[in-house]
Amino acid sequence: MSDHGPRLSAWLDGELPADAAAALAAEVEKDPALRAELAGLRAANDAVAADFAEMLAMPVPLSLVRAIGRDPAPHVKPAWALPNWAAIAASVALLALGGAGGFIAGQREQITASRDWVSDIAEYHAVYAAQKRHLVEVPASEAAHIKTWLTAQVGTPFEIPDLAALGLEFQGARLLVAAGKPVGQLMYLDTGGRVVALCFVASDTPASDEVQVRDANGFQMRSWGVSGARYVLIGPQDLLDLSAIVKAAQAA
Amino acid sequence: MPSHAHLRKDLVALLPRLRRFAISLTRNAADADDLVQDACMRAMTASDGWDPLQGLDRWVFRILRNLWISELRKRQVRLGMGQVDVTETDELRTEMTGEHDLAVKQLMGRLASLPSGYASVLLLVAVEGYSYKEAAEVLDLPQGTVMSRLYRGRRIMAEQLAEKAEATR
Repeated sequence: MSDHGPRLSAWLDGELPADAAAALAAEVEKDPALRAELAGLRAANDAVAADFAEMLAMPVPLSLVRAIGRDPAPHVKPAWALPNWAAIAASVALLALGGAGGFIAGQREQITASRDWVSDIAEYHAVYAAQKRHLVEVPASEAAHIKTWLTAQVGTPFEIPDLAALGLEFQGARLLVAAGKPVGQLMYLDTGGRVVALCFVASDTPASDEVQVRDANGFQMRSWGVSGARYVLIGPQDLLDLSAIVKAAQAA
Repeated sequence: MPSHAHLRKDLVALLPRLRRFAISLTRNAADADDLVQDACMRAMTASDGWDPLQGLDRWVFRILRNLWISELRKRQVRLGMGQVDVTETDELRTEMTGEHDLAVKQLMGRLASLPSGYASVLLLVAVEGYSYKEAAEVLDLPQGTVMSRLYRGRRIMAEQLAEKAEATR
């Protein structure tokens, strides 16, 4: 290491005045030892960036997300807080169906306000939907690994739906813990850069094609069950076509 | 000034970065999580003190750092070590067991080999893109200290990489 070390380091950071940077560049050009030292510092910088990037991919504890993100007001919008037209439609549908199931206008979608793993997913989504460069733990390029890893961790087989026809590009996956259970999270980006996540948890609840609708933490959600698992799709409020994504995910 | 709800939402979105910065200071996940929570609560109760022209991250990083220094000072006093100069406080380690070092390695990877007080400087400048002046303000250090810690931190990492390359030859 030379006396030039601190200046080389500052040069990497763009912190040398222009004339000093030009003088150092000329010295580096002539001196192989300086070039080697600069290359070493650059490699160290890349290693630092890589290690810090890994740290950013670490799951944030849900307790921390809740402590910061929870408003004094309830997160889950109860059925009575729906817009008037929707509340009226729900009441009419309930009356028409004798109250069974709570379906809205034949959509086979049910409003629910219970707090469970789905609520935890909504809280996590507020963190991860805001990440641009570190959205996932394992990138889409490692799809085969994602399947092996999450099948083993979550305890249920699954497919990675191809949602490209709906404008959603698969980005990769995360493993979360919600309501004390491991949850697989498949992340997609739409053409506007908004995050849509398909999450699943092992469950012995009987399979049902009934799609439940809820609205939590500023996101819209759809959930349904298959044999051995429950699924939740979560996306931004202004993404209108969530039902089409549900159908595509169910068909995968 | 953003609404309370808006600030809360922005803080949630910042959590992975706040937690990473806290880990770079504390080298301990539990301390880091407590620190992030305290700093966010402090930010929400003191939001009038935030200048939106200054990035939210920079403001909360500074709160984090100040809370951590305050916590370290309390720990030193409790351990009977008396008051410590501010420029030295963040280099103090309160635990030095082998088990603790292993936990730090699991949490920080290669960065665990850096002396305490170096990782946060490298994070702010080499990863977050802060200028030396900005990093010095957040960490309450002289710019010269920021510059020397960056160089020494990189040199330690470079030596570590060279040793590893040598060992695999």
